[in-house]
Amino acid sequence: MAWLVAIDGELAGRRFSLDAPCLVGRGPYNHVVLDDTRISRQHAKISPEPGGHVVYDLNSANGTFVNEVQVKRQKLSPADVVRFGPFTFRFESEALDNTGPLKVPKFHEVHTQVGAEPPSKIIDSLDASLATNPGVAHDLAELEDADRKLRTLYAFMQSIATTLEQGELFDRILRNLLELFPAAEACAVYLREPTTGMMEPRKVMRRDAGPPSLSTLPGLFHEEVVQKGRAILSAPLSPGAKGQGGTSMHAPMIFGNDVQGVLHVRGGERALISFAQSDLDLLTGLASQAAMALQNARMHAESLKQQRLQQDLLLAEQIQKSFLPRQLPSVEGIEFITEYRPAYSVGGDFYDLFWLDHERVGVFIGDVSGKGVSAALLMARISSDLRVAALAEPSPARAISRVNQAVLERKQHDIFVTGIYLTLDVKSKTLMLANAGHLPPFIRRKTRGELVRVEGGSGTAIGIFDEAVYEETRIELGPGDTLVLCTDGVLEATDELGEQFGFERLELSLSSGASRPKDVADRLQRDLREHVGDAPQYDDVTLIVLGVTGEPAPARLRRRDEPTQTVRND
Amino acid sequence: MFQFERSEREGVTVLTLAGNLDAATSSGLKKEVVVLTDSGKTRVAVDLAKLTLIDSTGVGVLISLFKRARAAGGAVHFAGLTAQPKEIFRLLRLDRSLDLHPTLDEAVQKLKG
Repeated sequence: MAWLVAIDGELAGRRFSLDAPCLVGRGPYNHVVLDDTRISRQHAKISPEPGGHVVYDLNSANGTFVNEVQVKRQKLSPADVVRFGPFTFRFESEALDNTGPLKVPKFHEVHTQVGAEPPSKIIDSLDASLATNPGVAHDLAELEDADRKLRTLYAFMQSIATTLEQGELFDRILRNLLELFPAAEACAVYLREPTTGMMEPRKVMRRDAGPPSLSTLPGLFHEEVVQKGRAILSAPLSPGAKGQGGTSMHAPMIFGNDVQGVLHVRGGERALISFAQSDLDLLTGLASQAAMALQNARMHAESLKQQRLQQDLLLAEQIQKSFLPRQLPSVEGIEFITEYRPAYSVGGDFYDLFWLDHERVGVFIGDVSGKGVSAALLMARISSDLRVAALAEPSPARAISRVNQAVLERKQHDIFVTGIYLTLDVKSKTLMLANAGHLPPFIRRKTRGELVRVEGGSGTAIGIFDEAVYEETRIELGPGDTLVLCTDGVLEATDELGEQFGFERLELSLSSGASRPKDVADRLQRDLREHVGDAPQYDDVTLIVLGVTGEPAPARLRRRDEPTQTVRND
Repeated sequence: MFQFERSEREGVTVLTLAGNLDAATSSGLKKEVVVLTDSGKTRVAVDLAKLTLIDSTGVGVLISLFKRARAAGGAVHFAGLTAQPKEIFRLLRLDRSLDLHPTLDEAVQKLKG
């Protein structure tokens, strides 16, 4: 047993145990913290060695003195006076009992409290017990030992907890280890590789500028540390030094019940003993702090990834929304209703309504196969392709054909697009319509009160065949007639039992009740909601309803006139 | 549930699909399509007799097989379409442009010749 006893200043009377290597310096991680500018951050170290205690000056600015002689390395004898800057200590030693076990500070018992209470509180209670039981030198030494270890752990935790970036975290851990263990020549962080389950080195740091290589101890490394989660101190090089320490340390980084990684600290290659059992205890505590910090960093990285994904989606959604018409063309005698409900924040459905010239409006509804960001981005591109094609080609069939070529040129093999493009002559209320593999449009005829499925003008979905030929069909709309375009999300809307909405329900909904566009759209939405109930929306639902306003007056008048005329003729 | 099987018949690659081919089940077939076409197997007969359901993602995978094989100078014929998949093919007007056959034998004979 050996102590460094302060003999002047504020610390007078304080005893610092030297049973384990003891660091002296201004840095908060030192075992003996001397808060004075004349003290270097890492000033000196006193190590128990087989021949007795040795003090090492760690290249301090103002030097280390033994009996007022400046030393670099000096073996200490009882009652030697050791001075670091303005601080003076007396070295005290009891003859080491070589047959007994090395005294191990009761560090674990204190450490287990760390999780339960904030370290500051524990330090307070330690200080209090120091004050109330000053007489018991033995307990005092142990408590001081526990105290400085707690302080060390606390400083370590503060140092590493402020980074959430893994590379920086490893860097800080290793820098701290090199400072805490002056006898360490190199240290490393190993992490479990999720795919192989093996411990792989993530970062290696050497005290000197040598290449970052580190020999491991495979057998011990895996069995003791990785499987059993036990910290190990490797055997010393000299058989005579057995029981007093070792030359390298491994401590598991445990989180939950898993060994997530290992901290490895290695001493100098020719050193007989670099570390004592108490060093290993300290490393064990540091490793558990490091595991916690690593877990934080990982969770942070995961949430960053989620955030980035979320941002991608948001961006795609914004791009997509920007391609949907903000304002529908206002046409006298024509009413437009549009509904757009993507299943996710971004969908593969889209629609467009725009003026082609003074007399014609272009209307497009489409559905890109697949979902998510790639479908949304393709959709956005296609809608600009379509506008270009629509302005260049008055014929809907030829415009669609151009879009088909444009999509094929992008060589996105597993994506295709279905769509309907029509032009509406606002004076004659005449449509020219081309259908590229899309759900056929429906027309609700006011005069005959019937629902017609438009099968004409149909061609293959866009983006599949180079040689695809598109046709167009001509449709005349009369007053009160309503045209309905929708995507197959309507047909595929599924109830909780897996039953799809289907053609039959769609046609029933479109053909019943009032025929104005608003009525038709509202009724279809309501019927869809009722069918789906609480089942999640699986596919995008898009709807365009286009109606010619006004009563079909001429037809009715003629019918009324006829009987009157008949009466007259009679 | 979706399964597929690849075999060879008279120099033609036969891909037999069974079950539901949709967004949730299509990733394996998607990879197979790339493997097939990258390894030069571009004369392919796809047997759909046991395919019960297909969605737009599933169609996308078959279309990618068709497009990749054709780009490499090959051909893809489809056989045995039934029920819902047949309706989807009709809706997308794929029935007009793809080579569809009632039986696998016919598809293989066409590809062989």
